[in-house]
Amino acid sequence: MMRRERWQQIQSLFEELVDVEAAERATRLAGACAHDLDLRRSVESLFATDGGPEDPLVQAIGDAARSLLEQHRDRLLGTRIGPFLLDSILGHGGMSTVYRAERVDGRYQQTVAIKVLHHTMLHPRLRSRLHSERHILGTLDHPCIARLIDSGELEDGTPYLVMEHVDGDWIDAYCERRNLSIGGRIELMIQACAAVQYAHRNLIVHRDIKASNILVTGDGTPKLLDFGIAKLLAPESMAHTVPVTRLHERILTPENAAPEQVLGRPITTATDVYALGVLLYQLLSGRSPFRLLSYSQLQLERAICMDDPVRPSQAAAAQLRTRLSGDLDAIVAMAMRKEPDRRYASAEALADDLRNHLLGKPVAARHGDWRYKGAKFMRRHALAVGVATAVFVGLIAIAAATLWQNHRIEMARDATARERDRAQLVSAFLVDVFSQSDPYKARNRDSTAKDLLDQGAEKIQKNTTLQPEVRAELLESIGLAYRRQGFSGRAIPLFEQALAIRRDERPADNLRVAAALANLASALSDDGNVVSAQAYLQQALAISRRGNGPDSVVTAEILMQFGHLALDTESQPQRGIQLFREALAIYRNAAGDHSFMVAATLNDLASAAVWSDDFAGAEAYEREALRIFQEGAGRNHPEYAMALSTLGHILTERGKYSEAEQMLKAALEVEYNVYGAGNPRVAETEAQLGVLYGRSGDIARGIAASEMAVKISMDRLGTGNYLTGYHLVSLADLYMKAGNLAAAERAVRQALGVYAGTLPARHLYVASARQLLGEILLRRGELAAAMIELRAAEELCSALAGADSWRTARARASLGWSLIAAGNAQDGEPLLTAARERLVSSLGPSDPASQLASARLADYYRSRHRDAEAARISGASAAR
Amino acid sequence: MSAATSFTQLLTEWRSGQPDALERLTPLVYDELRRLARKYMRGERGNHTLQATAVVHEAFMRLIQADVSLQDRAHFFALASRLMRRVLVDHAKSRSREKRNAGVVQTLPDELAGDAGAADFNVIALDDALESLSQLEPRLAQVIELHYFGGLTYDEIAAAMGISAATVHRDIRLARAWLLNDIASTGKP
Repeated sequence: MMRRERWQQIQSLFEELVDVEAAERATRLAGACAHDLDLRRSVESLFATDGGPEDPLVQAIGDAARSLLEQHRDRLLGTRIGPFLLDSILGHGGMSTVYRAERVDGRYQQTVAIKVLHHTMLHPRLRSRLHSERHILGTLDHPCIARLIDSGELEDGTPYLVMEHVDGDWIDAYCERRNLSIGGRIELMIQACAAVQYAHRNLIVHRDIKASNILVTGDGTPKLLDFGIAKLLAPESMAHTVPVTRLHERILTPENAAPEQVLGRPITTATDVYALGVLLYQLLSGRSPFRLLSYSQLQLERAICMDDPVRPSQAAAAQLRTRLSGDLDAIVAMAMRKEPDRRYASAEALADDLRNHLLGKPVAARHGDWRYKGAKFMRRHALAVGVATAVFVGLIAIAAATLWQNHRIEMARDATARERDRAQLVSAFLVDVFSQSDPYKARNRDSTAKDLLDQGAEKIQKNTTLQPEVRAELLESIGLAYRRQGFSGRAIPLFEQALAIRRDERPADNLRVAAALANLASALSDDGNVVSAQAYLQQALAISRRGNGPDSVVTAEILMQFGHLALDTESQPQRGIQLFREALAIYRNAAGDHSFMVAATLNDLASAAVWSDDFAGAEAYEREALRIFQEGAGRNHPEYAMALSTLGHILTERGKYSEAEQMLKAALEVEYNVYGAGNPRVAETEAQLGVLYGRSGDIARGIAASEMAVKISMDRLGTGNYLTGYHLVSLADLYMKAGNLAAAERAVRQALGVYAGTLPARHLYVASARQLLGEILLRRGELAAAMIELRAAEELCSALAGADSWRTARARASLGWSLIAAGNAQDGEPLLTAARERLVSSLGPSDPASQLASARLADYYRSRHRDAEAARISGASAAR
Repeated sequence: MSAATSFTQLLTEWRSGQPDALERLTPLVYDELRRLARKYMRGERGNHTLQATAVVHEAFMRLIQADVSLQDRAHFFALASRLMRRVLVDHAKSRSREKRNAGVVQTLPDELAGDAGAADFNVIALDDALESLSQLEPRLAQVIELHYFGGLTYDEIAAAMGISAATVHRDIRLARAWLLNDIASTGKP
């Protein structure tokens, strides 16, 4: 061993001279080692072996490598295993080499394939299992399964399997080489499924179905190889608890592994169904579902467990897209579901669906299945897109509700097979529309939701093969979804077409015709066309009462709708309440006190009570409704949000501001989740918050909320909807309170313009708007103009709400004050005095309207030096 | 031992002295070598020795790339090239034992007869010399291992060891010269 110091000398000299030319190196080396010949010789000998054309190190290593490879490659060729002579290598698998062998004992001619395992250290337990299970495998006798003929061990203990030799091509190569049609490929898959099903019935799971385990013979018969072998090759512990793709990636091709295999969960027949799905994907699209060159194994495994592959139709060449989209995409998706128990129940079921597809029959993968889609959709997108997804979630919920409604209608009748089929077609179509939309592609969520529905509507129009009733149902479903999304105008033509179909197809089917009429009426009234809506509803109610009986749920639904019309667009709260109560009784009777329908009706009754100024009654109705929703619905239920919002409104009116704010904010949260930010429902709750903040004195926040409401309403509903006017009035009120009179006047005049196009001229909303305009004009000093508005408001309120209503009193108080301001105290004072008394008695002294009237009257008294009377009024207000 | 072991986990276990890790690693290396052997050896003329070396190197890269994070690469490169050295040396030792037992001198197969001259020494001698070198200058032995058994380029070694490529180049020349000297002197009694 060289001494350390000496080595360092050698090393430093070598490094110093290594890049120097040979002649100069010799000179310098001689100089450096003048007195140390030994050092010089050491360095010289190093340089002597440096360089050269061949690298002896590479040679030495290469010899060893070559010898190793040679030894492990062909050592069995030309030798015998049992009666078989190994004559060539058929292939190298991950864990084995497969030899072609001929029987040479002269008894008969037989060609076999012998698989010799590489693993020299086969676990003893594995060895014994190989023996016990080969008998079971040997019993598999199916034309599409390559038979296991024998198994054993070589002298050194290396296990081998003797199998039927199949002369053919790998299934993927076969399909490509013969340029097989999609139908031909499906036929092959059906046969493969049958073989797998046969093995499953014999309690044998393949575990490693893939293209390189299926050969197709010259006559087109697929033959599955290696049945049950994967299990034999994996130690017992590996079978269930270990991510098999890792260490034993050579057992399983990772990209074909099912999620449960990656996760080390129990492997069942469903694992084979998944693998058949992967194979189908590959044969149809020509690509692997999860193959990406850049994937590391870890990424691949994650993808297998988390990601949905691109649909085969999208993965395939362009000319195949149409052929693959729809049924085949759905079939592959169902076979490849992450959850084993949600895949096809068996290989046979998969084959059945493939057969259905070939025969043009409906496939199971596309119906009865929308709940799963919806759930999956939410699961998949909830994290990633949050609010952007909400619209879709909402849409799917709506589709679900629609289908449920259809289903219920179905149940009310004798559900014939034909009708069930129709329901399935409808749901399949809808699922199709939803599943083919991509929320990531759209620029914003609103256009996404609308685009989705537009696509659906267009598909219905284009599809000329739909049965009329299926078409009608689809039109109604999409129409309903449009309506819930606030696109009522687009729903109308769809509902009209559906109604025409219903009338043509089954004029006597009063239930469907009535429902179609009611749908159309609802869209029309949403769209502000109250008169037509009323006419259609009249027809619907009459048909329903005559055909379904006065106590049917359908009748109740129409009654509810009628009530809404009376309440929202006709300003007849009493009539509304009467209609709602009628419906409520039917619902309580039919569905029980805790049903959602009862809750929804209570919600509407509360709204009607608000309109009748019965806030205490409204609060009671609404609290009961909220309780029912709270108990029965999820926190993200739209109706729950509605109840919260309405209760917030009622509590605002009752002066319970902090609880009101709590309710409204909770409602807003749900609505953002369910509908997305741009929805009219969000606008209504925002507007209500605006009112609340205005009342509780936080005008700036009130304006912000109210402006938001107006903006949403303008964007979504436009000026053709009275709701936009309503929100404008609320905003104008806040502007006025903030002292921004010009903006307030602009807003309220815009609102009146909206009302003129969407509401009857004699409507309480119009009265409220004119009242507000009068007040604004009053504050701007335009007394004459103000008085015109206030007189009109007074007249309308008196006619619509009654001479005794607080609305009328409010208008009279304002009118009285303007008369006083104009110098006509003689008429003004009694008007103001009486109105104030009426306001205080009906709304209480602390209501803003009462307080305003009281303050004005006190001002008037003081201006006339009637301080005692002024003090009495102020004192009365203060004392209360 | 946990059953869920990857190649790199096994490497770590081997390094930390777990007795059966090598036994479990070796078949993985063999499998990888076999997988690649066909690609390099089948029906191709030329330098089979170099091809075999390339097979070793490619096997090495394939084994190591699976699930190693960047910061762990240097560590695993070192372990895997050590492993490759072990596999080849063990193979060579078992072959020479067989030959001794059989009492015959193995001749090269016909197909290899045309190869440029086989080495004057075998991988066992190289292994011994490397062992001596690592006593003297461990870094040099490491560089040799990475380059010859792992197939890493100078740049890759430089990156893995945090030294310059020029240093790697000098190191390899020095180490190789030293090894050849050592082998030559050991060979002569």
